[in-house]
Order: sequence, then structure tokens, then C-alpha cells
Amino acid sequence: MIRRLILIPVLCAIWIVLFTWAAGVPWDAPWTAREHLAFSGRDFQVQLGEGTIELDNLVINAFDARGNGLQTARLTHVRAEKYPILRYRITDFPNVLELALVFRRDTRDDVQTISLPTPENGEITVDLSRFSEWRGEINELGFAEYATAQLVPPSTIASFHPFRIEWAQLQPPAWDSVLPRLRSDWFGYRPWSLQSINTIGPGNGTLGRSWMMPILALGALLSGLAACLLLRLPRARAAAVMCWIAGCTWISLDLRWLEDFFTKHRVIESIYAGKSWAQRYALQPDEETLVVAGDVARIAEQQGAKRVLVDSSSPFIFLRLIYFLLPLNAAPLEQTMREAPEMALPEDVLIAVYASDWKYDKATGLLGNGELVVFVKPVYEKGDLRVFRSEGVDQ
Amino acid sequence: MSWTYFLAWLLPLATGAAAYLAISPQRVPGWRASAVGYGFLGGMLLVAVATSIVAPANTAHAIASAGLCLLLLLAIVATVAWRRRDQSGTASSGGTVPLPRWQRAALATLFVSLVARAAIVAREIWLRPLYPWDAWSAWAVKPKTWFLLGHHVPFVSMPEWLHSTHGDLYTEVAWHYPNALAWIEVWFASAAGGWIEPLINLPWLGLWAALLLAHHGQWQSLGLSRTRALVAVYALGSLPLLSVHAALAGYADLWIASAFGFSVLSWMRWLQQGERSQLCLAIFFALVLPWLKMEGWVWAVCLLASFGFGALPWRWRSTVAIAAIVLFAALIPLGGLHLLSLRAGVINADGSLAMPALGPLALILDLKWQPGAFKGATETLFAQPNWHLLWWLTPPVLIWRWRALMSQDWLRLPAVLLGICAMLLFILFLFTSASAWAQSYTAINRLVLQIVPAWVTVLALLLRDVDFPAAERSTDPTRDPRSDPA
Repeated sequence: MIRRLILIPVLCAIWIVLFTWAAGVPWDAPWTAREHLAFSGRDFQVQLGEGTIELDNLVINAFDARGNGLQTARLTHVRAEKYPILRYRITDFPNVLELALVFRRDTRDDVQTISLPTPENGEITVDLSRFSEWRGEINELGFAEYATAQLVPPSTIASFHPFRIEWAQLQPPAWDSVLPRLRSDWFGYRPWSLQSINTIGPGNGTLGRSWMMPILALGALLSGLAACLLLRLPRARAAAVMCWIAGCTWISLDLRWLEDFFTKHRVIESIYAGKSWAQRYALQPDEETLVVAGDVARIAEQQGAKRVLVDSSSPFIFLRLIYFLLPLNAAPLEQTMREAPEMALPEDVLIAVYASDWKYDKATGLLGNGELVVFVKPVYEKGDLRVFRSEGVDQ
Repeated sequence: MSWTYFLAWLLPLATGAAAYLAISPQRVPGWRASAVGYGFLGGMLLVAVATSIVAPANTAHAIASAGLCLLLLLAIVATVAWRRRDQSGTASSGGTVPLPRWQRAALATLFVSLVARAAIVAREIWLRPLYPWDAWSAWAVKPKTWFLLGHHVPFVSMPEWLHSTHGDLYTEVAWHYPNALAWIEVWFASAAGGWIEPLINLPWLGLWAALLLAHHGQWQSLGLSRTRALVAVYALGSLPLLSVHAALAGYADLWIASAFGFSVLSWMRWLQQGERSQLCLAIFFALVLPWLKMEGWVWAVCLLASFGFGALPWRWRSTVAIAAIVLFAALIPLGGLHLLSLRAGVINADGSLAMPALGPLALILDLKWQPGAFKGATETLFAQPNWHLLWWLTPPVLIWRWRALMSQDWLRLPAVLLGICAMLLFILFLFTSASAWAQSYTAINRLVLQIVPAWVTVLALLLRDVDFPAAERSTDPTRDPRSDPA
């Protein structure tokens, strides 16, 4: 009986030490922060989009024409190192949006952004000290919102249910922020991203030691060992206890994953459910690229071009263009020219550059990117899309 | 969804399952699940073969021409399976020890959690246009082109593409990738009647289910009780990255993981029970690996070498093992592995060797400890939520069950194989320029995924004899769980 009574405080001590270590709270930190910088919704100015003040909350109703929202508050000479903990409460936040912390540092042009956990309906607490950007003197701070990158088609956020910024707070580390911090890190929503096929967790450098799995695994291991030693369990019984603990920890992690999986999926449901395949196909996360591909395919048909070379400054965009253009015979411009530097481009080749660094020189008729050049004739230009026809002369 | 699309699922599944039963007619525990699981993957590979042979000239109607071939094959293998079934006798069925109610409820909950996952995966695939990067930049380019053109066109290197005068050759960044998946996608596109990505990607869900079914069946055949097999299937099916590769369909890694896992399972059955039919299946699934993805060459070499090693008499093994280690150690500094990497490269028209997608062995040529990669690899295996506790539990299970591992050849040999595979990945990610993929948490998890089902197999079977106080006993009283038929 006494051994069991001893086990309880030992288990509590194990988990408290692990949680505190994970949250990175210094041992000499106060229970609650003695000073903090608090902002109500009223303190934020709407820079992009539209919003109204209701009580002390800022209600965001609409974004600007490019689908961005930005609300900022002025600060006076705040040292970032002194206030590494950010707490905020934003309610009714649409799950198709991504939230970022925007702050102006030291000089007027030094604007930084940090992606934040999406607030569902609770308070979020984040340790900003793990981000290298959070340093120096902060003069302005705010929130930015936009369609989740590479996931949500921008057209779907043309209208959204208003959300409200209730309050935000910067403070030094304190013991009372341990559990809110871990809750935000461990249970915060992380949307699908192109990285998800490689790893489900956050990207490199975005999370510190507050990872859920090692804490749970170490906690379970130490708890099991403590139980086996203090209760003097025989070997077979100890093995069974450790297996049970491992099983329960596995199931806990799996429940968390299932919840995350379901939350990720809810976003997909909210965007695509109830629509025909044609409508869903049009709702690509990069809708603009799909439209551009349609333009290029039409021009290629008008020009009777059998092949198209495509370029963009972003590999994502030119590869997407190629995929959307299929079954048109398309290839990446720069890679093709690099792999066959001695060959001239045939005359039947159309060149489509979209949001690209390639520049056309009217005087010489050369299209180049500083390293590679090709003789071309302009065919079409609209916005960021320019289409040329190869002149078939040696590069 | 049309009847044609339904047929596109049913026909390969039936052909594959019948082929499995024709090859391996033994009615051992779990044979039905094994037949369906192996049947699905085998059927899909048969689809790829049939479509690539008879449908290149008319890809839009691949389902009709290749379907006819499959139908003929189904008739043949079903007849053989039926005849061999008559000769093989009935399954050794025994009564099962009834489980306490709470254990039955717990098992049902685990099963329901797998079904819930499958439902989410199905909706994800069904709703969304093709999402992951390599799916639209590499894997789907050829099948989409072939299907929308209505016929096959060759994909060549970019210089060759530029060189062609008629513009009838195509290129893409992954033009040299193997074509099995492309033909499977053409099959489903022709059944769907258009390039409808959700219908083309749904087979990834089928493969996920087939992977779990085949493992459940084979684990029982290898002596795991039905209860423990279900718990192990839950462990495998709950691995987050495995579900993600089904939900974000379009990559080849799940196919490699399944073929590798099936090959190891069949090999273990051959080692344990001496069934030649299972050895044939093990060799078949090893041989198809290079046709699925480039690194399939490396895994196929590892598997086939292990099969050969396992077939050697005891007195030869230590000599061969020492010779292999010496050879490997000598080849690395000499750069001799370059020869092995040739298959991952491409001979250009001018005779030069291009390696657009460096296979793991090709990267070994310049070995150097890569600082930072160890941290990335550790974080992604032990801290990121990709594998639950799999890598945390591996060392304690191996230590705990070391004696069982070393005393049973059918467990030891696959464990050695997986150790070699892990060592290759270790060298790749910690000593070559591929370390960047470990630091960025990218390819490392996908390559690890390819051996994970086999890894879970070894761990699950290591625990098959563990007798917990008041735990359930084997559900098959006809078999002594401590016996080693090998």
C-alpha cells in the first residue's frame, strides 16, 4: 500500500518535469507573468480588408481584392526577447484560412511574418522565441489572414463567415502558460500541405522540443519503469505492464492523429463536397495556373504549335502548367536548354513564360534569363503570361 | 460510377485472387485474407502487363482490350485454382478460445478505427483533384498523355525530345521512371471514361486495404493468433504516414511497400513451412519492384540475395556472409558500386551516362558524414507524428525477444534482410548528399515507408509466443505456437 502511495507523487513528478521541460519554462519563472502587453480587438487597425468593432472585439467581414486580410497594432519600443510568449483568442475563424503573425522590427522596412496555429475557438499560446525572426525592437504587430497556401482555392474565400479578434497578449515565460502552450503545440490544427506526403509534423525549425511523441514516449517509459521498480513486479508481470503502457500510449497518439486527420479532411469537405467533378477540377489550389494553361493551349492551337516550352520562376508553377497542358507536348524551358545546350530550338516550338525572370529584348529579338538566350518572336502577352514562337536560330 | 468502372476493380481482383489460389492452394489459417490482399496487388500488376501489351494503340478503350485478356486469364487460373483446391484438402480449422467480452469490444474498436480511417481516405480521394507534388509532376504525366491522346507515345530525354523533327516524342522531368503505375492509371481512366482523377486514384485505397488484409492473413499463416494478428494489423494500419500515402494518392511508395512486404511474408512462409509456391510468390513480388519505382532495383537485389542466402546450407552461410561483407567494404572505397547503380541511370544518345534520379546506391560513391542529417533523421523517426511508437518500440522488442530472434531461422533471416535495408538507408541519409532529404524531412520517410510493413511483420511475429499473465492463448489449438516447422 505504501509503495502505491509513493508511486503517485513519483508519477506526478515525472510528468510535471517532462511537461515543463517540453514547454521550455525556466525554473525560476513566476507562476503568472508579472507584466504583459495586452491588446483588445479594439486596439487593432484594419490595414487590408474590412472590419467593425463590436464591444471590444474586432470583427473581420471581408478581405481585400487579392484575398488578404491584415490588422495591426502599434507598439512602442518593445524588446522581442522580453516577451517571447504570445497568447491570442480569435473566434469563428474559418478553417480554410491560414493565420500569420506580422510584425515590424527595428527599421521601417523590416517586416516579418510567422505562421501561427489556426485558432479554432479557444485560446492559443505560442512560444515565439523558437523563431529566429522574433528578435530586436518590435514597433508594430498584427495578424494576417489568407487562403491556406497550396491547399485552398483563393476563389473559395471570396466570402466567408465573419470572425472576431477578441484579444492578444505578449508576456514573459510563466508557469501558467505551460499547459496552454503544450495544448496549442500538440493539438493545434495543421493543414494539409505539399510536405504532408513526406512528413505529417511541422516543417524543419518550426517547433522546438515541445514535440508530443517524445514526451509521451519518455513519460510512458519512465512511468512504467517507476511502477515496476516501486511495486517490485515480477518479470513477466512487468513485461505485461510495459506492453499495456506501450499499447495505451500508441492508442493515445493514434486518437490524436485521427482527430488531426479528420480536421484536415473537414477542410477538404468544406471546399469540394456537393460539387460535380468538373467544378471540383476547376477548384485547384492554384486556380490561376489552370486558367493560364487554358490560354496557352488555345494559343498553341491557333499557332499550330506541336510543342511548348514552359517557364516560371517557381518550379511549382511551371510543373503545374505542364500537367494542366497535357496532352499538349510540353517541357520545361530552362532544363531542356541546359540539357541540350548545343541544339537550336526548332521552329515549331512555342515558348510560354509565366511569372518568370526571362526577359525579352525587342531590339535583338532575344529572350533570355541572363545565362541562356533564344531567338523568338512575340505572340501574346497578358498580365504575367508572355508567349513567344521560336525563330529556329542557334542559341 | 459505371459498371465498367466496377468491372475495372472486380476483374483484376478476381484474377489476382484466383492466381494466388492457383499458385498457393493451401487452406492455412488466414488464406482468404491473403488471397484477397495478394490478389489485389497481383491483379493490378497483371492489369499493367495486359494494358501495356494490348492497349498502346487504343488507350481510351484499354478496359475492353486488356479486359478481354484478363478475362481469359481469369478463366484459366480459376480452373487451375479449382482443380488444385480439390486436391489440397480443407483448411485446418480448430475451435477458438472465446475471448472475454471487454477484449472483444476492444478488438472491435480497433477494427472500427481502421474502417473510419478508410472512410476518410475514400472521401479525401473522391473529393480532391490530384494533390501531391510528384503525383502530378512525375507519375501521372505519362498516363494522362497516353489516355488523352488515345495512344501510347514514347517519353524520351529532353535533348532527344528537342532533337526530334516531327514533335511526336514526349518528355517530362521523370521520363525514365518505370511504367507499371502509368498503365494501371490508363486502365482506370479508360474504365472511368475520362481523366477523372478521383476514380484513377481510388486504387490507392484498395491497395491500403489489400496491404492490411494480406498481412492479416499471412501473419495468421505464420502462427500469429487471430487476435494478435488483428492487433498487429491495427498497429500497421494506424501508422499515420501509411494512411497519408493512401489519402494523398498518386505516389509509388505504397506500391513498393506492399510488394516488398508481400515478398517478405511469402519468403517467411517458405522458410517456416517450406512451401515452394510461397517462394515463387516471394520471387515474383521481388522481381516486380523495379517495375514500380527506381529504388525497387535496390530492394529487389536485397531480397533476391537474401532468398539465395537463406537457401544455402548452414555450413556455407558464414563463408558467404564474410565474403559479402569484405566485398561490400572493398567496393565502397573503390567506387565499385557504380556498376550496381547503372540501372538507375540512363545512357544518353552520345554514350554519356546520365543519372537523373540517383538510386540510393549511386549516391554511395562519395561517402562523407553529413552533420545535421542525424538530427533530421532522429526527429523524423522519433519525434514527428509519422510512425507513432514504431521506432521507439523496435529496440526494446528486439532486446526482449533476442533469444527467439536468434533461435529461429525464419525470423532471423528476414530480420537480417531488414537490417541490411536499414543500413543502406542509414548510409544514404547520413553519409551522402541525400542527407539533405533527411534534414528537410522529405524522401527519408518515403524510403522508410517502403520497408515498414515488413518491419512490422518481424516485430509482430517476434511477439507471437509471448505469454502474458492472463492473456489470450493461440486461437489455433492444432498448432503448437512454440514449434518451429522450419
